Amino acid sequence: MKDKRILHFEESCRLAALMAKDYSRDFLRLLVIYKDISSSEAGARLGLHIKTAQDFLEGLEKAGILEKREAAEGKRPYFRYFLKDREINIHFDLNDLYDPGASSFQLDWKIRERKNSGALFKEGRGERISAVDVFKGKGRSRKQRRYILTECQGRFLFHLPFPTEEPCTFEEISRKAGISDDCLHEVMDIIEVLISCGVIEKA
Amino acid sequence: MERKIKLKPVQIGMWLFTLALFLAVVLARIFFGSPGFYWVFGSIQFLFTVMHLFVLLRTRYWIYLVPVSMYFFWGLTFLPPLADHPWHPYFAGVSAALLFAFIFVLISKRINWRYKEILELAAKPVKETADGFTHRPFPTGSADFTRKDILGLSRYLKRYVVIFPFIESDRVVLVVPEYMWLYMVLFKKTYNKETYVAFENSGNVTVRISRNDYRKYKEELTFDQLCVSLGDLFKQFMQWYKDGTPEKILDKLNSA
Repeated sequence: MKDKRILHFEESCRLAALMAKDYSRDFLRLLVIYKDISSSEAGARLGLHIKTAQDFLEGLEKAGILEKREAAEGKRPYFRYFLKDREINIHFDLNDLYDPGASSFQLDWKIRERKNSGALFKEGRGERISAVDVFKGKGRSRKQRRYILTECQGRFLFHLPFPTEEPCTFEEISRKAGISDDCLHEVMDIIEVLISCGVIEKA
Repeated sequence: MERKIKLKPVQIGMWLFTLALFLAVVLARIFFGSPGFYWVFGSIQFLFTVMHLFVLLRTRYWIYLVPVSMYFFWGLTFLPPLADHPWHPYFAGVSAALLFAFIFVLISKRINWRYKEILELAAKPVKETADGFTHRPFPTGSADFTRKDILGLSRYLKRYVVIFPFIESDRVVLVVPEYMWLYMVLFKKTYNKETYVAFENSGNVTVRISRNDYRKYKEELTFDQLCVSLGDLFKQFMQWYKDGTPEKILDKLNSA
């Protein structure tokens, strides 16, 4: 059984970007046909700039699709590339992007709106906030960023304690807002953002 | 017992509007003599007639017939083209009689805007000054009422120009505007920047106090307590309405 290398999300993205090039099919065909090939040979064959060919080959090599070996042949050393495997699987594991366990500690946080946060809350229908406008900077460099909220996020923020109230835990606020556990993570996400923007404070 | 006023001067716009009209009359007198004065003064009376007529139609409260009639007859009395009308002395006589009726209406406090009183009553139980203003609406808990009750209360309060109601499918929003004219006469359709108390169909009561209104207080009153107090005030109004004693609402407002 072949050893399959699992790529990280960023590596998979880079590989997918290489495969999306309009010359990738022809390039890979060359790699299948040729035992090994240099960037100048491939560039000349496909009518590409040598730097373009080299970047493509280097990219595939970094992604583990190709191997390279140094060649000399009387001139200055250069690299020749060859396929390690004729089958390429691009695999995205989205579990890499969010670890629910890592943010579970947030459930113990006691939070409330920060005094004079300056944020503007747009009210939605049915006891929820529909959007939050956050401002950064002062004067002419002041920038506004609007966060449109999901229903769960909106309901949670509606029941967030006011700046002069006692802070509450996630659980207490969720209970007041009638939020189910399945949308707790999206609530945590926006709370983290608003804490970093200085709109919400942890006790 | 000395009553502590917690608000700064409010409704300055109305004072400026009155001052502008006064200046218009004075300038007309200076530049155009007596005819100018009577033209401007008479026109202002007709402007007020139209404004009060709008309020009469929107509140359907007969007492507004008094200011409507008074301003109309004042207009007839002072406008120069009608000065030689054979009925002119009758216009003047009716105007004088209506002026007395209008003074009586004013003393009875039945057409007063209640913005200031509501803010004062809301601030009364709040002793702390920890600020904490936020644009968010404040959930003040639930109250015992039906959709029919809140619609009835909103009609009652609109009649006495205490609030301007917005009837929505899931709630009734009682807006407390600083300038009721904007809603009654100019047909303002939004309440995004106003203070309000919303009675949800679910039974919950939500309060929002606008930044503009919060700044009217001399001190930075603890915001959540202020919201709770405003919510409680309107819950009390609801209770009195349900008990069949809505006149207590006006008594309470008059006591502020």
